[in-house]
Amino acid sequence: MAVQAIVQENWRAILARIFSRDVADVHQEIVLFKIGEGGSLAGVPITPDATFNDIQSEGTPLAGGGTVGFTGGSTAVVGTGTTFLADVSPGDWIKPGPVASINFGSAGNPGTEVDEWGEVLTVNSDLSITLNANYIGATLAGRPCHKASAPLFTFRKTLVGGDVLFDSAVPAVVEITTIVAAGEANLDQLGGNPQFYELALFDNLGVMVCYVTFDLQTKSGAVQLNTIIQLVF
Amino acid sequence: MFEDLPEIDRTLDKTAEGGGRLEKFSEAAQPLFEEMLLKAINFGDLRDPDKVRTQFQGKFTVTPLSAAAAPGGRTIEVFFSDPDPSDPLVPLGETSVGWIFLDAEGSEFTVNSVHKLDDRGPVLELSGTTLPSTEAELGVGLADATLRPPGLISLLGADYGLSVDTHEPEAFQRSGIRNVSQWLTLKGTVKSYDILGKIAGYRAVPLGLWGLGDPVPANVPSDHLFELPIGSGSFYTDLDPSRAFFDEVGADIIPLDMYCYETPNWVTDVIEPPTLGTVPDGTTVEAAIGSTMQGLTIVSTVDLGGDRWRVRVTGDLSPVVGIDYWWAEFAGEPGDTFYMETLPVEVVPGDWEFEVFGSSPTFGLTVNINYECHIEINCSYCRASVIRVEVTPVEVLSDPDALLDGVLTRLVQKILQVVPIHVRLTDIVHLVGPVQATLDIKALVTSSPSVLVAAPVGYYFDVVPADELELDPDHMVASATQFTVP
Repeated sequence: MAVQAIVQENWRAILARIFSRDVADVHQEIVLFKIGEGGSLAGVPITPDATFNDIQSEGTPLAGGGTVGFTGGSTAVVGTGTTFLADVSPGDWIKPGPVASINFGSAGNPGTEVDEWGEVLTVNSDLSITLNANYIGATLAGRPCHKASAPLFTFRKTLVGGDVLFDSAVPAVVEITTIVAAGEANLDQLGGNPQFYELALFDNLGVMVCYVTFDLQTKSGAVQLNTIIQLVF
Repeated sequence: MFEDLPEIDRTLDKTAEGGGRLEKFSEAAQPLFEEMLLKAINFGDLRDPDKVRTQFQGKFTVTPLSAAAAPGGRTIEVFFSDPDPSDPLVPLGETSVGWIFLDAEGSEFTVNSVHKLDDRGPVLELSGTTLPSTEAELGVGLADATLRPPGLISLLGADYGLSVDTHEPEAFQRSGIRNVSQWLTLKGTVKSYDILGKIAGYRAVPLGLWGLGDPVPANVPSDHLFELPIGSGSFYTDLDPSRAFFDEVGADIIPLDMYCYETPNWVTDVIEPPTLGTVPDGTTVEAAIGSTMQGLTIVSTVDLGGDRWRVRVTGDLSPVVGIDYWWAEFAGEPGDTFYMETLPVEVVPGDWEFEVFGSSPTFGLTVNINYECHIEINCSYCRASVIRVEVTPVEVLSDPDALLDGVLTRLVQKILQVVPIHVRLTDIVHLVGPVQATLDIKALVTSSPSVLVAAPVGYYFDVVPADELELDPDHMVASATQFTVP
């Protein structure tokens, strides 16, 4: 099985600063992983990119920026400062992104991500979109708008004791075991089994530590998916 | 001291009119004289690199209350609380002109004058026009500053033309001066770089570079090819232009138009000579030349007198057609080089004899016959006045007290002291690692839900011009293994 991984640029800088003993403000811990349906191109996993700051299944922020308001149970999406006409097309899927983070390299505050996507029916103006069905998520405003070609499913899980092990031998290795248990992450938004291609680790500031892609893993209740990642220094 | 005064003065002092004032004055001045005496006795310490004062001695902590521009605005006055107004040594101690005042935020000031019994409390007058941080600014308990006498080791260093690096730990500063005689006369030699590197906590190895003509020979491996400075179009390599000679190696044994460091693809390349057999991939030309003559059985050794020995071996020594650069390595003395003194002669089919010099060498049971290539300079491959220095930190740099700020820059400054005037140091390679896991790892990895992944860094391999030192963490890699259950 082809599995590729890379250490993110933002985390390399952290390591370099620790090496130079600039430890005063470096105290990051690996606390979370995300596994998602993004990270593939026509069914082929993409090569991991050290510049990513979030997993691909969270969608990409709109190029034109701005914030959006989603209303639960309504098809109307309202933009503020957005350029929907240039950024969004009918058939795209959109959702509110996470709350912006003040931490450098973080795509958003951990825990503020939204799972529910809405499919775009019409783009009425730069500030208005109509979804083809009522939005199934909660009412939210003031969030950046994220876009994807499909309602990509993301599963997030906090790492627990023993998941992150450190070996100080040379070369030093941090080994992170991520387990998606049999009972977890078996249903995506469209009601099917999630089709996973990617996985990423995050630290306590929400900065992505490492990005992994792999061949298609269809998750169902009969499968426990284990991925062991080694960061070698 | 009082007893040393003339008797007439002592007698007068003891009268009711004298009142003993002279005696009291003498006693009061006695500690000052004792201190002067001690300094005179210890005058030799100023010449002793192990004892002369550095910036780490004699310092103590003081608490500045507030600071203000002194009248005239050219200096600063710093005020202190005075818990014992009757004792002039509290709180400024022996602080004197020329001492260094280091405030809580790390700024250094030179003491211009000291007023220990001023009406406003103890006052220091500092040179400068910016105010040091004080409790009035930072809050009570947050502005502790340090006072220390000026370090004298830099004055001692100046006597030898050295500039002492005050960023270094005390031991390095002292050893830098104490060991100057070890390298001052060795300037420009490999040994001098080694000593200077060790003084700075590094292992430093200089490599002379070869200038390459235009076009650059295509067979120089890219990891040994340096453009210095980058973008200049001037290329150098650290590989000797060494080649095998027709006169010494049988011409059908090996292609002789290749550099000895080259590692062609022996398996598929058409140049593989039929007599050589299969040579493993990655073997250099030099290693391949002797590859058929390794581990030959020694049949006999004969002492010819005068430290000359005749050795008979079983094998095929026909590749040896000239003796200058062929040498034998006997199993009994691994690592030692015995150059051939005579051309090997096949005395009976399969048995060859040659002679070596040696004082009762231990031959052992087998011998390796090896070839050493010549350095062959030509127009596109000549000695350059450019060196490349590889530096590796030694254990002492993992000392938590070591001041690592700009450590590489300072190392370069040190090394430049031994670079001869006609040589340019254009390239420095920082090899870090394996660094011990002592940086900030702590053992937070046991049962906590997550761990501090503070890196004990592995290998840094950094090739940058000496004036652009930086750290490049590209060695960090991630790998992943995935499996499913069931």
